[in-house]
Amino acid sequence: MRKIFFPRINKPFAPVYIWIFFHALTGIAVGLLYIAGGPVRVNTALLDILPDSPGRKHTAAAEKVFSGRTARNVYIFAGSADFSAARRAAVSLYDGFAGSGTFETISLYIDENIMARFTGYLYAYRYALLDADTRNLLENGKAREIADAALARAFGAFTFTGLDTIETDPFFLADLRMKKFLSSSLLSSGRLSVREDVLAARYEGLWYVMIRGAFSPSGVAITNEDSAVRKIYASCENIAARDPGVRFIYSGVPFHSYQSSSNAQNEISLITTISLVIIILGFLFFFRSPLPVLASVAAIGASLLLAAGAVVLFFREIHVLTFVFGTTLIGTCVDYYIHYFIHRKWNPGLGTGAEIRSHIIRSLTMSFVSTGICYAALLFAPFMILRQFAVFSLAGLLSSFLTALCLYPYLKNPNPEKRRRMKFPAVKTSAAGLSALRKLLFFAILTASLGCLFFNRHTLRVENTIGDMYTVSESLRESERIAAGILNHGSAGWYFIVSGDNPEELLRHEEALSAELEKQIAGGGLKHYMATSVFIPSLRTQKENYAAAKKLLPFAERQFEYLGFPPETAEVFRRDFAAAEAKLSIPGGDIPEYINNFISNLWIGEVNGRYYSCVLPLQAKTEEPFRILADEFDFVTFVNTVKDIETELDSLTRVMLLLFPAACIIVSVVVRLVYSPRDTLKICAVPFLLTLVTLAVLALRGAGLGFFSVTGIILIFGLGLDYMFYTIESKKSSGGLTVCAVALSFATTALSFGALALSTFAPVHIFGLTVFTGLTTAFISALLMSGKVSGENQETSG
Amino acid sequence: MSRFTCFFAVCIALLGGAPLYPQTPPDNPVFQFPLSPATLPRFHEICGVLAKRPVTKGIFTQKKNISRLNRSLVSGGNFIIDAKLGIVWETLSPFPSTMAVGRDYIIQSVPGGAKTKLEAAGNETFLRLSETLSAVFTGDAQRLLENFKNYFTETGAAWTLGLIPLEGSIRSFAAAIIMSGDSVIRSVTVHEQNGDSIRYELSRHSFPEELGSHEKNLFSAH
Repeated sequence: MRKIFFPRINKPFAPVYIWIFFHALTGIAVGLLYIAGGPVRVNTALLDILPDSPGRKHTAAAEKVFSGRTARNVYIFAGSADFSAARRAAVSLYDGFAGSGTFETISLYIDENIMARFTGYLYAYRYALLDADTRNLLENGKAREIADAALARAFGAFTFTGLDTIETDPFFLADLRMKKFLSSSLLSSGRLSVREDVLAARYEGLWYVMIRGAFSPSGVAITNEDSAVRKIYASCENIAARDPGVRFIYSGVPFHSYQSSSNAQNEISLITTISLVIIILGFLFFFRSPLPVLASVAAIGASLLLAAGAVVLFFREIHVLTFVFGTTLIGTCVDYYIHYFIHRKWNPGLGTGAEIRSHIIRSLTMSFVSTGICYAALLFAPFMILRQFAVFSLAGLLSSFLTALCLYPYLKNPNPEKRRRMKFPAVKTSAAGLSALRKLLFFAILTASLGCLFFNRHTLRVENTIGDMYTVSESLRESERIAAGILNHGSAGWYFIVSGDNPEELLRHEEALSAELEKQIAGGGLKHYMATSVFIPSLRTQKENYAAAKKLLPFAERQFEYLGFPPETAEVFRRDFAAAEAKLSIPGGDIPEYINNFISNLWIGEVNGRYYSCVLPLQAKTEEPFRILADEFDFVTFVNTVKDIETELDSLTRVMLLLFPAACIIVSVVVRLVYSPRDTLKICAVPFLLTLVTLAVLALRGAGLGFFSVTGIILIFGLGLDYMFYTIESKKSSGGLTVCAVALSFATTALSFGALALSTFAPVHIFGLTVFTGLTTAFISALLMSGKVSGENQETSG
Repeated sequence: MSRFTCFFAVCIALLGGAPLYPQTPPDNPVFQFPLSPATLPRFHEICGVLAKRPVTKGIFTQKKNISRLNRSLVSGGNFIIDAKLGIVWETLSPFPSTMAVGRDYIIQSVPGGAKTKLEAAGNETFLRLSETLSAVFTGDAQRLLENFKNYFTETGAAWTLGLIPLEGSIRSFAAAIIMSGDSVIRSVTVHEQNGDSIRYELSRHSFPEELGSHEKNLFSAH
């Protein structure tokens, strides 16, 4: 097979233009993007790292709108054994934020007229808003029953609405509707009730007063000084300090996002600092000169800037966790610098920068290509965070690659007298002894890994659990527990998205779904549900309701007679009824403000030319019947985001596991284009061993095979091969010098990924652990498997 | 947590967010006499008498006054107060109906019509309402003190108790309650937010040890 030759570049000053072109182009593009497209942002939302829900792309946009509206909602409870103290704390907190830009909406006090407005709404639309039971009675010729029940209600002990509209609502239709609302969950209140002028609950021996609100877009920016969560925590701390008996409970996605992103930021600082400090110290110790350190730090800085710029170019934003993953770039990039400076310092045979470049270009290029291919594979992952990471790393690697080959040759080499060959300790073992030792170590690792896999085989199953990706702090977990106990609403975490060509069709579709949900309620599979059409039926239904209500008219005289009104009242009633025919309720109409606010949560509205809303089942026994139910309608989508994503990730993980051997074969072919069969065999044996060892470590850890661990395995496939390339190349000329460079580059890379393994963020931890284990195995494998390089390869190198 | 919790808060508000009781309580002399250390022992004594009876039965006359229309609706029937089960209002005339208020439910029925049961489990406002009604009619002194601003006056053996609910959820149904009696409750007047009122006059009290099966069945939705 004809081998690929790598060019010698003897003009040291020409390639600098490549470096300048690439970096300047990215910088200018980012600048233009900023000018043309407005500010870019750093995304700190935890949920945004999850992939789009699979299998329902047509509703994904609607779901995103829905989530966006509700993800800024928060609930804060001021608690104390004494109600007055709890209320005082809540008022103090509320006063500190009301009218500020932190919240878009914030409420503590209860509107004094809300009850009157709601009953007023039911009264105003009493014919159009008939409940289903009442309408059924009317349509089945039982209007008399309704009339009699109204009289019994009037003279009975209790009505849900007042009697002061009795002359225009003698059949108590508004009262019937109110009763229906009360008997459903719609007016359920959990443990909360109005005490004095606030919402309060007594729970586990304490009084809790609730503040609810929605952060403003600037307030929800969780990592900067405007962070609403940070301000709330500070304010609550001050209040609690003044009254030690007071505690605060927090609930809502922003609190979790804040916690996770704060942890991520701390970890970025820690990982970056530790990595850099150790690398700098290592460089200073090894090279005994500040130049390699300064040049490497400058190069890393340029790489990170370029990497961030590239991500912004492609995604118009950069997620904070991309930085966490991206810190590993430091270790990878440093590999290139190490190889350059090792030869610059210790290889007097290479007189100029151009000669050094020519000497290392083949191994660096193979390393860059194989690593780049693995990063590029992540571009196809469904995780936005991984795609950003891939772009970040590819751009960063390219920058470092160009720096090592295009800029570093400018550096003047040290005086020849200062450049001496590195002295390696003599190994007093025969070649046969070394070979035996290598084999022994190899089989020891192989046996230990296989044994570990065998005894822990039960843990090696494909499993992705979204819940495990984020470890909630103990205090926040306790907060959510108490909040859930107080609110006690019974949401199962899944729901329906209903669609229609226009609002009227959407409401009709909701009603069709609601009819099926009512059957589930009758069968005991569901307690209740929420939907916009419960408050605002479709116009068709409202008109049918009105038509049904006409059947009450013959009973008007009798009704008023029993209620003690003069006969002419019936005629007034009929005129009023006729006028009410046009009185229909529509979304956005004159419905009570608080109900309108609620409907705006459920009512998603127009997205891409189609209308969407959410229907929320509550206290359902199992979800399976509802999944089946959704399949019966073209316009209904069942949404259980977490479960669907987990299922999708499991499938993806399985596919990746199946593709991994295929990828190995493809890379083997590529390697064979450059190396001899013997070296190709050595190189390609590495992925097998590192996968085996990594799986064994994951099995011991009980981590299972998740998406992130399998992604890590694919990545180490690319990174791990580098060591074989370097080691095999080293046999040609520089020998132990390159082994030394490999050891140093392994140390820096392993340091970066090893630091990730210490992360508290589970995906980062698993990813770091996987890559660290794989890299360590790859490094040891490179040492064990590197024997005499074939003469064929000698020919191809310069 | 759920994104819909705000709505539950709205629901609570719907039940409980009615206007606070007018700054001036109903025109009744009892509201000039807040419960004081001097009257507290007598308050406890009267509540003790009411509370010691497991069951109280009798008849009632109900008069609903609709202030805006200047009309009244008068009805009558039987009542049952069971310390454990709850309260039943069995209206007999002019139109029969029954309402039973248990610890965590309300059952309404009309002759020939199905019973409808409103579950209060998980609905704090309903539970509070039920608890309050129970406290009022069974003389649960502790709950009365916890949930109302209490007023008390006494003339001879006759006493009058004025109650203003502390919680908005209760105020939406009853802005103020005035009870009067001697060894038993003789009348209860519930003043609503809009100026309407309901007055119950109780008579022919009896105190059986327990209820008959028919009476117990009134507390059942079946």
